[in-house]
Amino acid sequence: MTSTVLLTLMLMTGITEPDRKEFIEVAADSVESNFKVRTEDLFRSTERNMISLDWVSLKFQNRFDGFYGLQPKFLIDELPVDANFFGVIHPQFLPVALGEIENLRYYSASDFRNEILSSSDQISIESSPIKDGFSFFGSGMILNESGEPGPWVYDSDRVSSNKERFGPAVDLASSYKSGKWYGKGVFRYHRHLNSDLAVQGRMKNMVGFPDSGEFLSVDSETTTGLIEAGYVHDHLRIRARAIHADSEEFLFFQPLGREVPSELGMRQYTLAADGDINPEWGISSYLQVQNKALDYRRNYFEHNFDWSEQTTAFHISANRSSQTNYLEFGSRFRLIDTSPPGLKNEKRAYVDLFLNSENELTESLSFLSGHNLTNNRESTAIQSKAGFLMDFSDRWTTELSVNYSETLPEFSNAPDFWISQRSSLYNDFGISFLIPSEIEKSRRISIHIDQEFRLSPKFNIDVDLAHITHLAFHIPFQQVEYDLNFHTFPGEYTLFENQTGTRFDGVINLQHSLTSTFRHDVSIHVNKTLSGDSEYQSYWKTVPSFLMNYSASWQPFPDLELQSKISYRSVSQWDEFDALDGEQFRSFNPQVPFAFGTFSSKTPTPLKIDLQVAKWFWEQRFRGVIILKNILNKEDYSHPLAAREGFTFVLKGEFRF
Amino acid sequence: MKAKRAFLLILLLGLITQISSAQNAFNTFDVGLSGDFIINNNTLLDNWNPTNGATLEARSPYFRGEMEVGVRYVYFFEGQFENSGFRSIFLFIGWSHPFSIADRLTVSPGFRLGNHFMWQDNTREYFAEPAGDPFVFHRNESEFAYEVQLRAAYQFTERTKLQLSTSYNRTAIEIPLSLVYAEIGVSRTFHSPKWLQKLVK
Repeated sequence: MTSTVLLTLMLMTGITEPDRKEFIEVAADSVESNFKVRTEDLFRSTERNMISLDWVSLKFQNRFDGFYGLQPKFLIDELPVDANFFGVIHPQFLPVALGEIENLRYYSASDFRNEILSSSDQISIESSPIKDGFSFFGSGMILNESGEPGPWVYDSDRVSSNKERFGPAVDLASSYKSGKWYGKGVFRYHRHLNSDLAVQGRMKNMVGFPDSGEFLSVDSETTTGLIEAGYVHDHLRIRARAIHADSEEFLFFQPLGREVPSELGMRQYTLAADGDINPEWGISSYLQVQNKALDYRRNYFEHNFDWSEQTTAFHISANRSSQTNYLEFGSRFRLIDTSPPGLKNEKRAYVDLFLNSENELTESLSFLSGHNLTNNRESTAIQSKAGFLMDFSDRWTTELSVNYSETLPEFSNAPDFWISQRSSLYNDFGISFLIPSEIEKSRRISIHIDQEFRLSPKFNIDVDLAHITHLAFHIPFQQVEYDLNFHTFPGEYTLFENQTGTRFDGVINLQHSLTSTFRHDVSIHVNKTLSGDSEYQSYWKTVPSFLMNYSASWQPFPDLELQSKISYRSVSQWDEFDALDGEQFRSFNPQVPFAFGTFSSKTPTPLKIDLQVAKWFWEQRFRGVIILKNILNKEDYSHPLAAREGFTFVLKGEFRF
Repeated sequence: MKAKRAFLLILLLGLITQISSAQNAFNTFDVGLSGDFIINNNTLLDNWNPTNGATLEARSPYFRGEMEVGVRYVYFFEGQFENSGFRSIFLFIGWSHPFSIADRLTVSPGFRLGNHFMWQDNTREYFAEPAGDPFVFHRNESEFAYEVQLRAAYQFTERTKLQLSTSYNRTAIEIPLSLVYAEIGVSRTFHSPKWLQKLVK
């Protein structure tokens, strides 16, 4: 309907293309950076399903593993950055300002361009090129969810709870380039107050001490910094990078069935060199040392992860490109020193060997293959994929491939692996559990058909279909119990090992540019469990079987942009939270009239509409953005324990020079 | 359904008839100052006593009409609830379309979107029984608010206008806050200096 109206308006008003000579198309806008208010919004454009309990941290659903499986790896300017803590991504740890992102690509684990990173998906973020001289970027935003009490806070009969508060969120980036040398820095600060009605009781009780009358703040606060220096010559690039990130969080820990107040920290130091040996051959390498830690944040249960991990990695690879062939091979060595509770300095060494190639057999037929082997002293895992790329015509390309993947349990089910190695973590948290003493590799095989139809330069259709057979799939399951104050209490935790089943997963994307000022696209994601064990069937019900996103963007003048987004997600069922079904949550404080809500193990299916207007000022140095999210005010949450999201208003400003 | 169609038709006609003013974008500015009076009666006004307010706004031709930014300030004195006074600041951006209905008279329907800041003089606390930490509410709140407005402007000199308007403002707090304002004020037209045109373009 929206598109029809806009289309009609444009045809009838006879709008001609504005003069864009003076307007510089900023590539960072190509990932719709306007709409990227929270860091998690950055990934909405990937059309992947996500859950977020607090609007900040999130879990991705990849087509092979669901929400509890491997989370995507991140690359920033081709170098790995780790933002994953026990399967929860903290994107505010990524040291890149949202408005400074040139490009973002999501590679599925089955994708041939997903190079060496074993069986996980990969998100590659490319930051804006560094300009000569000094440059600066800054952005700040405030976000309000509607429904604050306003002046009625003074009326004890009408008072209601304060709403979830996100922000302030500040991103700053600056750089200086002189000749072949450059330096850059990034600073990010994000704060979030967990006061939504669905979470406030749980959060406040977790950091509350009734005996002493102390109830600590329920905010989450993250600071992230990056410093990088580099030398860039025509055929050589050398970079040194340091990242520090610290956060006070409520980390969702699935084996416990709720969050754990924690302090998260990450330190990473990287030295990288890459270049071209000649027009055909290139080489890249990096040495990276990283330390991640989860430490104690004061809480009622005295829960403490007391967990740290140091990883030293050295990567080297070579690639050869010609008009008809592409070859890449290399190796990575990793020494991972983990200290989980009850164990100290568990050192494990891994060697990865990988080989990717693309060979043109005829003008319209190419052979693709990719292989990766991960080995340590005790076990080996392989990932292998092979396929054909067929250009039936200038307008139709098909890729047919088969993918086999094994994943070691320390990567696919990390907490359970350490419990099987006799870590005391679950005992410390009071979780009764059933975990095999030795967890096997998970294994799967999948068949993929990707079709691309370029019907015209302005109209593109992608169809990506996959049939997935899980040969051995490990499913973590916490049958939580209901508790009034803490919402959940851990029941028995089980790792259902070696589950088998088959799935279908398909994505259709249509992109259409009606004129140079109006474009719209729609993506539909459908998936279905075809067969499998009962636990397998139950697990995949957490993934909505249908997801639709439509977006339209109209830029009537170069400095003005209007966008609308419509999204729909079908129901998901979380059997882990059956005990919460129909139970109430309520506002924390007994001093005011209680506000109540009801838990459900099923998520709602709202049709959500977002609108946005963005205007540039001062020759593109400043941009003001107004965003109205969920304008129909449909209650939405992606997980039974998640904060409920209603109509939300955002003001955002960006400044760059 | 008929109402929807009529709305779309009006929207279409409005846009079709006005397609040329963008070329003059930001060449001139109207700066207006108005006094505001709340003219509706509702539960909020039974419990608080608002002062008259003031609105400062700037308008300039843009995108088939006039773009405007501005701020309105009103103070609400405590009424029934002790120490409940608060400052109300509505920061907005808007767009309106002027229709010329006589030689010097224009009528402009328009809308405004903005943030309504409500800054309370005192922090509201509710005390526990038995005694414990009080529950402290946020002292400063801000919420989305929108406003539809009908403004009449009479140009009594080349650069000066008298403006009268009425507007309906709704703030999306838990119990929505709806207020109807009447405004009277003057505005003056300025040619935009180059630096200002550069700033807003």
